[in-house]
Amino acid sequence: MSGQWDIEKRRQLYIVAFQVVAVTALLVFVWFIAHEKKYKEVDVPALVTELSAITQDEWHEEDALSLKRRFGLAANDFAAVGYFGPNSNMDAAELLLVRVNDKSQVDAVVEAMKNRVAYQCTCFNGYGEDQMTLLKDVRYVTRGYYVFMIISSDASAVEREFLKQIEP
Amino acid sequence: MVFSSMTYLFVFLPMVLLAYFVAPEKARNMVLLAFSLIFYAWGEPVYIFLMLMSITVNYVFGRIISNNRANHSRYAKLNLGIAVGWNLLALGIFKYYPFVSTQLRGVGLKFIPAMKLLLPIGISFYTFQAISYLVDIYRNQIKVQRGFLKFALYITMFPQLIAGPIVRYEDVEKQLTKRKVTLAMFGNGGEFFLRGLIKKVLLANQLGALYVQIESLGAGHASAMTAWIGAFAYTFQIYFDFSGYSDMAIGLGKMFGFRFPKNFDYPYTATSITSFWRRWHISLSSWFREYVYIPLGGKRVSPGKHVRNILIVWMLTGLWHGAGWNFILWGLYYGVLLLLEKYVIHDRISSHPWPGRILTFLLVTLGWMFFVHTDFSEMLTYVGHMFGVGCTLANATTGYFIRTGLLVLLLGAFFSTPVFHRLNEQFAVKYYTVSIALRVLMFMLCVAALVYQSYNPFLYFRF
Repeated sequence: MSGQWDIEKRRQLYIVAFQVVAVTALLVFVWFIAHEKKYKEVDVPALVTELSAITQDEWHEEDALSLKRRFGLAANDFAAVGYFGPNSNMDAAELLLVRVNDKSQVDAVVEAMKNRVAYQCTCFNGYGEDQMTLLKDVRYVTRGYYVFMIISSDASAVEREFLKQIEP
Repeated sequence: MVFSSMTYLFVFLPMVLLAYFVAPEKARNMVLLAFSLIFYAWGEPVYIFLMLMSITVNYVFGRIISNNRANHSRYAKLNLGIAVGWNLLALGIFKYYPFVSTQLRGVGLKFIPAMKLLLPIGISFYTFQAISYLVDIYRNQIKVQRGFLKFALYITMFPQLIAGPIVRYEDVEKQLTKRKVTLAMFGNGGEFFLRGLIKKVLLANQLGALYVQIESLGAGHASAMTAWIGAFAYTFQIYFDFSGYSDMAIGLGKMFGFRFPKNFDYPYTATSITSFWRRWHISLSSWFREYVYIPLGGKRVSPGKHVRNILIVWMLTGLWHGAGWNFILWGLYYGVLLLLEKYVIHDRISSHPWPGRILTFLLVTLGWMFFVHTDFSEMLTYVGHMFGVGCTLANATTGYFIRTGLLVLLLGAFFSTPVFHRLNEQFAVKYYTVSIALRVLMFMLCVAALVYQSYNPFLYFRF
């Protein structure tokens, strides 16, 4: 009888231990998620405006419609978007910075950027030597929830400044 | 991963089908589980740990509740409470903490830490499935699942993992152990999947593009008619988006031998709000009815308590969709409409099908505008425009949107009724070969559209 009581008591002890472990594990996981390395949360449109000033007169600010038309991306689907497009059809310089809502969006955004560059290449291939040079030097920078496409005569400087700004 | 993506259609799906049907029958659950975990981990792998934790916790608590429900009902109840509390804690931290902490810090409680957590995809769906499993065990409505892999598969099954339908354990209990896929069932599943893909790619995405254009218009271009065109576009978009996903989920389920419950039943043909909610996201409405409304007393209580019950359920329904005041407003809006139908209008509207249908559709359309605008001032501006506040009735922009958007809106209206489905079935019987050829053509159109549209998330993934 006492043996049975002991077994029952031990069983209940295991259950209490499991309850404690379950709650602790959840809280530890939350702590881990909350403290993983995060890049600084910046005002995306303001940062893109600032970055666009590094090489003046290459581009101008574009709206959500242009983004949809050229990249097939809806600005509302993301946490924030900043987009500067070419000054005319004969220019190629572009800056697109997207802060995604979750990392599952990253691949699709990069794919959309690559499609855009591929399309621009078909437009300029054969006669727009300068534009093709810019397009071949395109940078796709992915850090945390940021996806950045740089097509610029000074892409390295823009990339450097971007990384400086989002560094935690 | 999104069903309507090239990676899914041409890499993931063929691989899982091949692995599933090549594997011996005993290993098929394992194959589905492995692919479900890969599917979930795609893009945001860290949350796989939360899911594995959820599976383990709910599996163990399920067994504890089952072992104690007969002779220690209080002990079983205590463990049910802890288990449900654990699920709600996980959901609460990831989904509601950022919203609640922002609100509290906004009223001066600065000591509450602000924490920005990303919402684990599908957490609202799989948490509700787990809670229904635990409660059903406690109520002795189902037998506990002793196989860990089978239980893990119930929670993670990739077709319905991230956007429902919310499948109750009793619906798939037998199929988790033994299921058979016939050629007819597989074909029927494929048909459902294609129907969902068409809804998503050819309708929802086009309607979404129309809504985005109108939503991003400057104040100078606003007019009442344009605002209504935008609202109709979103209304049809969310239907085709979500019901498309559900069709794909049900179709995939059939292809693997599972029968998931129907989630939509032509909701925009409803003649009342009550009827609308019996046809829209049926698995969620049933969940709230079964696990919140009825335990609160349902309608078998005094009118005052009934009003309270309805408002609680609908506020929770709103909150389930997202942590934001707009979702609470949207939920309460339906609570009030349902109370009006119940206590004031009775069946005076639903007994007149067409006026009822039109009024219900307009009220639902208005409701979506509360739902979609998370920013209150934007919501008020948009809804104000719908009623002519601060803008004209129509302008040149309206003409442009009628010309460019009317066709897709009319198609949306037509395909949201059962008429097409009936015609399609008759056509398939009479002209079988042509019907097959048309399906192949539609699939190719979807693929072509997907090549052009680089990103097309499902709206309900956010919940």
